[in-house]
Amino acid sequence: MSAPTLEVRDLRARYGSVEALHGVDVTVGRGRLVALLGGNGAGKTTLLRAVSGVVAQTGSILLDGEPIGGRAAAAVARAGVGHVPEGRGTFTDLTVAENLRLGTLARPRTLRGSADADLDLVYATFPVLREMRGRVAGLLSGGQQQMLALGRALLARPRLLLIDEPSLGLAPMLTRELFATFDTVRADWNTSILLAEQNASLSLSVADDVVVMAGGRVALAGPVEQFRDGSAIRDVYLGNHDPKAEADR
Amino acid sequence: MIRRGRRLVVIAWLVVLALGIAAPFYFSDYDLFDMTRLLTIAIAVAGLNLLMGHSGQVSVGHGAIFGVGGYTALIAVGTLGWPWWLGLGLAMVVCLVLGVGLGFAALKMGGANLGLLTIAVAAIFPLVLIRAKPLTGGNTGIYASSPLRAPEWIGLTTAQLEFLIVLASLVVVLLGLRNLTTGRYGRALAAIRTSPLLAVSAGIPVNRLKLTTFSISSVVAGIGGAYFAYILALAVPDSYLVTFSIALLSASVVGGVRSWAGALIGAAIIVYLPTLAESVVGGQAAGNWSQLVYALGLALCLIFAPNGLAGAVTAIGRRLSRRRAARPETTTPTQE
Amino acid sequence: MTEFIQQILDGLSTGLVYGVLALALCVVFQGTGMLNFSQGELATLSAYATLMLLLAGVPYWLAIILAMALSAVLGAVIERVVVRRLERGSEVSLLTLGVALLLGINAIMAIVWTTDPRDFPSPFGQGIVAFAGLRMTYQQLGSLGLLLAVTLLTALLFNKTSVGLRLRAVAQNPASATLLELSQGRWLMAGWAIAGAVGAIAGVVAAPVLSLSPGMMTFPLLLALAAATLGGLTSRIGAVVGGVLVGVVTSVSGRYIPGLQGDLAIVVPFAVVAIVLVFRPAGLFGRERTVRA
Repeated sequence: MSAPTLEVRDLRARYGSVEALHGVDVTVGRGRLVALLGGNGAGKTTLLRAVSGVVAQTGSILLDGEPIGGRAAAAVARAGVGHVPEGRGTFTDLTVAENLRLGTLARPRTLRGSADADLDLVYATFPVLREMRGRVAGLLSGGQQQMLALGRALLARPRLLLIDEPSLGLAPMLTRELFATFDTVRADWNTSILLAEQNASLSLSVADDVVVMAGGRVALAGPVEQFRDGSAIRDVYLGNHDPKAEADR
Repeated sequence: MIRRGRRLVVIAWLVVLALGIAAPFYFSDYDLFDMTRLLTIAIAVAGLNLLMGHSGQVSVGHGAIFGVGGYTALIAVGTLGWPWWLGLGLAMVVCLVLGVGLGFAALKMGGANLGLLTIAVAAIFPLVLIRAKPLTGGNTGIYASSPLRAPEWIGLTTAQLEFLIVLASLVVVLLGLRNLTTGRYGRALAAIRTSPLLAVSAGIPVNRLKLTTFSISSVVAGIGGAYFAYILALAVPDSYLVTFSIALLSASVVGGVRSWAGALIGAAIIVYLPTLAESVVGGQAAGNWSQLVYALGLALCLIFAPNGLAGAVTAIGRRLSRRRAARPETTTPTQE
Repeated sequence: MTEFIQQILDGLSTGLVYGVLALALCVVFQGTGMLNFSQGELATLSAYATLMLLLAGVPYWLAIILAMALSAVLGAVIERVVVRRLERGSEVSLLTLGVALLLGINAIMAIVWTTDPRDFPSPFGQGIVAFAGLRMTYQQLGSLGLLLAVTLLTALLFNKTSVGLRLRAVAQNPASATLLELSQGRWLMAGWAIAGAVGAIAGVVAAPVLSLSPGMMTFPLLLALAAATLGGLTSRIGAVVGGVLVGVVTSVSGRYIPGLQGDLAIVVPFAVVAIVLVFRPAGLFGRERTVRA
């Protein structure tokens, strides 16, 4: 079996003097989609930011076996980590086409030639972006901006794609449409995905593996089949599960 | 622990006030002159802090407003023969009108352009002063002999009396501003400067409050300007060039744009750094070298104390007191 | 009528200075998000550098190119050493830092070269072109050409190249830009470098007209600010048009409106700017920032 795309061991992260992640272990297998679940304050966004290098962290982070912990965010991005941040992070004063172009500029040098083909692929995956090509990104709806952010991140051909709370602020129908594209994304773009989401049921429909967090620690982890009935996850969300006690056991 | 911090702050202010009251009896009239000048400028900087630190608007023209206050007060005392406190009142009224006018114009021009409007006013002000010779005395300005002259029975020199009067006014102004900003008004301002959109949706009359704040800060600048002109007994265009407005802005930022103590610190820098720079450099080419030292000092303050010197002092104090307190439990922060 | 047009052409000289300086301000703003108060002093410094090179016998156009390169390097260094430390500063702090830089560079120039004004040779020679009863100097024509060239080049750079796209992205949303491999620091340095080079052109355009001294650009900076605001800080074309407008309006009103002789003539351009802003707060060519709340 090939090395996992992402392997995180004993990751701790802090905001200033307050520790937000207390030693987290996560693995994202090659080509797998791992759903990172948990309520508000569980540490999902912090985990993604720590992997991206945006917040200070200690612990081991291996990307395809290569350590990337401690590197600056731009360097981590260059190593092949794409990050679709919470709140989309589109450049609101630039057009859709310019936003996407920024994604192509972030491609590894060896893939520069195939940028146009990939751009067509993005437009195929998200047809609405082709329509809105010349429009300023700030005028797009939330769902369209989410697709733009996703397309832009994909154009950099990342090995690992981090997606943070894509459903935030989106209507349920739009969210379903968006999640439906994740399968295509994984296949067409040959990338592994770590998806942080509060919406557990929707995530379970697309995930291969699941990690549930609470209080800055991993509460449960395993392949998606284990979580079909959802009661274990519900327990964690409702605080019936004490991850600290588990860790101390 | 918070209460202890507050008590320390109050004690610190009281100590400073006590030192202030004692000062006239310790320093010579000559030294007092600079210190009184510092206090008048501190009043203006405090007004600027209200505007910039609390309502988030930028003014590069408060020097001109300061000047309007000074000229008005001296015209009242010198040309019209009024008593000093009436001149002060007139200065406040004129500056209020000016502030309302400018603030209103700025709103009409899109709030973000207040900075440009004020810098234009600051640049044009001395030119108008020179042109309006009959009223302002043109290049030579207006002279009025010691409006705050101490009467015989009080037993203080004029310099001492001036210092105490300005000190009292500064205390009143600072207390007033502080009360203003710690009530509902202050919270509304905080909302406006953090997110004008959210403030509007919360029902806060953003434009009206911005206008009010600008007007109040104008009046305060006028008060400072009036006293400044009184203790100099002179108002000339050269005192109120664009550079002075820029200096006030720098003083506000360097002291700490939201701190009242910062107003004093910033004023001290305006008054003492140039002379300090000159003494460091000394001699013939003093002018340019002292400007260089001033610029360096300014840059260093900005770089090492980005929240203002007042903020830096409290940060150090907090770090020292935290080291002595018990170790806090690690808590999970709420995300988003 | 001819005299009126001549007055307009005369205003063009200073208008071009304001235009190029406003362009530099715009470039720094678009590339770094900061309004740089020291832009004028940097341009003056570039002019001094050019003069030194000329006096050392370097041919004119080579001197300008070298000065542009030096200014670009200086801009990048200033960003790296001074401005970078205030990266997370508020808008006002950055403004004040600009002021500190202004005072510092001004002082250094006064110390090194004294405040005596100097003659600065025009790169275009001393001739005059006469047509239809009007006169334009080679300096005016040449500066106009330079201005158009620089405007065109910066427009191409910012709108058509990937370098320009990256600069705009980093200035707008540094956090997102980092996630796309754009290290903020490197690109901010680039923005300052480009602004420095444009400023060098401003210096070369201004010095023959205003005569070179440390205080050469302190007043023009003010008018360039007005011009950039008039045109719209987000629009380079607006900045240039604004600059020319300001120069022409000042010249014409100084001549035809009684009582506004000399320095008081600057009231008019500010009044014009104020009036325009009432109707278009983002400036003539500016784009209102789009915010979907």
